[in-house]
Amino acid sequence: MIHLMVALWLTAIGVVAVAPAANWLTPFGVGAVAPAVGSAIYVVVGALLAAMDSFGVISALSASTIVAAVVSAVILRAPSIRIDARRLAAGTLIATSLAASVSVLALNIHATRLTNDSFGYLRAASSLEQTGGLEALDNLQLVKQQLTVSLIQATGWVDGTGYSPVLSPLFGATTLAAIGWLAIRVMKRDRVPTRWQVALLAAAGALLLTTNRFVYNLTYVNGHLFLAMLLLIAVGLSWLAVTEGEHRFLYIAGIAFAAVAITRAESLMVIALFMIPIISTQQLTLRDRLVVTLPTAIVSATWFGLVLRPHLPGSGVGFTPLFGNVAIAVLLAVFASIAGVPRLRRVVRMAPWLTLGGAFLLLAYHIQSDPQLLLTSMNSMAVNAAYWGFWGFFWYIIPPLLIATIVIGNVDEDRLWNLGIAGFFLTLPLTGYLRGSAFRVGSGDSANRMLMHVVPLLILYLLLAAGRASINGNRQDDAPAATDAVAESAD
Amino acid sequence: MRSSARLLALITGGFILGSVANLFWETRVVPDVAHGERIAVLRDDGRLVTLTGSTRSTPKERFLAATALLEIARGGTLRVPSEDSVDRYTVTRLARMTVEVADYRSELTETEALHLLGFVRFDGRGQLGDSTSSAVEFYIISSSNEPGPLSMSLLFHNGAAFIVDDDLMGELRR
Repeated sequence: MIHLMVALWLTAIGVVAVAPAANWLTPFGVGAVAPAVGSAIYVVVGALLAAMDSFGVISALSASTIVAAVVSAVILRAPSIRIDARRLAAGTLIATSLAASVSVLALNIHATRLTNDSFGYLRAASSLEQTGGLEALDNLQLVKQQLTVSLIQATGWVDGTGYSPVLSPLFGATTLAAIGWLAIRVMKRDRVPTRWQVALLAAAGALLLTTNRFVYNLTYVNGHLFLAMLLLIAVGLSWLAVTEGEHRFLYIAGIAFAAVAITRAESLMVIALFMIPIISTQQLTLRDRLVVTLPTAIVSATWFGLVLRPHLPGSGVGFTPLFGNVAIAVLLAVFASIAGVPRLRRVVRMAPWLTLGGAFLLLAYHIQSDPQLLLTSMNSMAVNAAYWGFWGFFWYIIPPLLIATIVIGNVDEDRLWNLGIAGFFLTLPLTGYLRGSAFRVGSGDSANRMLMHVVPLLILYLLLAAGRASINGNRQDDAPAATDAVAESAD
Repeated sequence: MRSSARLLALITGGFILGSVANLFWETRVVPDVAHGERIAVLRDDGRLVTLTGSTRSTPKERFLAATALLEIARGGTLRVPSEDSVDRYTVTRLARMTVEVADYRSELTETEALHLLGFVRFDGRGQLGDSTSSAVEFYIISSSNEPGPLSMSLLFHNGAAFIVDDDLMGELRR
């Protein structure tokens, strides 16, 4: 019962935080993002409380509620923003129904799975619950694994269970709901025929739910699905805000990015790849850009630069992300501050490509120093994606679709999707160098698990491309032959 | 066929093809959680019929398996905890270096606890190994649901450890 209450509380925090955007999100949208946003606020607040030696699950949930209310109040100070009570009530009903039904289901199925990593997270959660602070944690473990998953799992200590059987399934359900909501919203906007909406969503849902790795992520204690869910919401809502011209609600993406930043050691690198194309979008104002970047910059600089610094292990550590992460956080904030300067417009427009180029150069530098590590890593990643990683046929199907979509697709502002996705796959081998060892063959391999981080984004991107293709195809079919050439060129 | 129609057909067809192929792939080649690999579990009626502990098992199963491993490895006997006590002995209590099974209490070193928390490896002679790099599949096979001492044997086969209830073993041999 207590697990259900925690899930509902996190969802309620999310509802409070997104309330100013309820009119824009629509009730289904509130339902689809509230559990994720609530959890994002909880982990950020929880991490800071742990840093102050004051963490307790109830106190963290209470403080998160206050933070969400303050965020809401600040947004509502804008004169043009009003809450439509009926829409918010409907959204709240959907969000709580989602959280409650998933929780009840999870509590009755007993499907929680643990891996070796999971035990590390649970041990840290146990220590957090006992001491309230970071002192009792293993330093190396803390720097490598971060605190987010342990903070989430610490909610299981409210009744002494020690882990949460409901939150991983809830994150999975929220991910599916967010994909569905974003896809339907955009398809409706594009006037995609209903039959195509249904067919595409059913096919995408079937692919995800028959992919063993996705189902596995619904049940096991780790942070991959949590990160994937927040990345989906951050990028998806940013893209939606840009393409719909509704920039006031970019703050939700800002919250999601901030939680991603402290979820994994390499998170800032992934965030930069997706955030720079967003910041470099010319339609955004200085305030819009800062709303997206500042939460991440402040949280990251505080967490990696101040909180974790005393926990930095001495010698013998292959991957110490603290300095690099603080540097990325600061650079993102600086870039957001100057991206609107007219004289820099050309450079800003090229920034995503320069970021990709920089990542490629970094990878090339490491390759020349140890080419065998890359070969071993690439071989392991390929073998895992093709066979041992429990991905089924997923990676046989998705890459060709992705390449086709990038080449002939017609998604608005598609660089907000494809540059980040391309950068993710480019930098994945780089993480092998940063940790100092090659990836290995096996379903538990880090790179194999990290592939999950972009899966929801990939599916949504392909759905958006397919939806757009369906209307372009119809228009072309209906158009007179003489206009075909024009329509083709518009493709 | 125009490029848009081609892309639409490609994505829709790809999703459907991938879904169908996944079904055959998973069931034929890599059975895992999506299809329920657990050989046996704590039944809903509370009877501890058969347990399977593996790297993909539930916390309850792993806790019991780990506890049993330690006991058997130490040459002791295993007390099967009651259904209620299983709920109380969650895996994170192991992380606090304390194991309580029924009326048995043992203080563990951190190394021992780590081994039990999924890093267990055997050297082939029934000893707990010292590596944290590989996990062993371990299986508890028991027909008993009665709290109290239970005599079990530790067997090794193909790198996996099987802890078999002696009564059940006797039945199987008959």
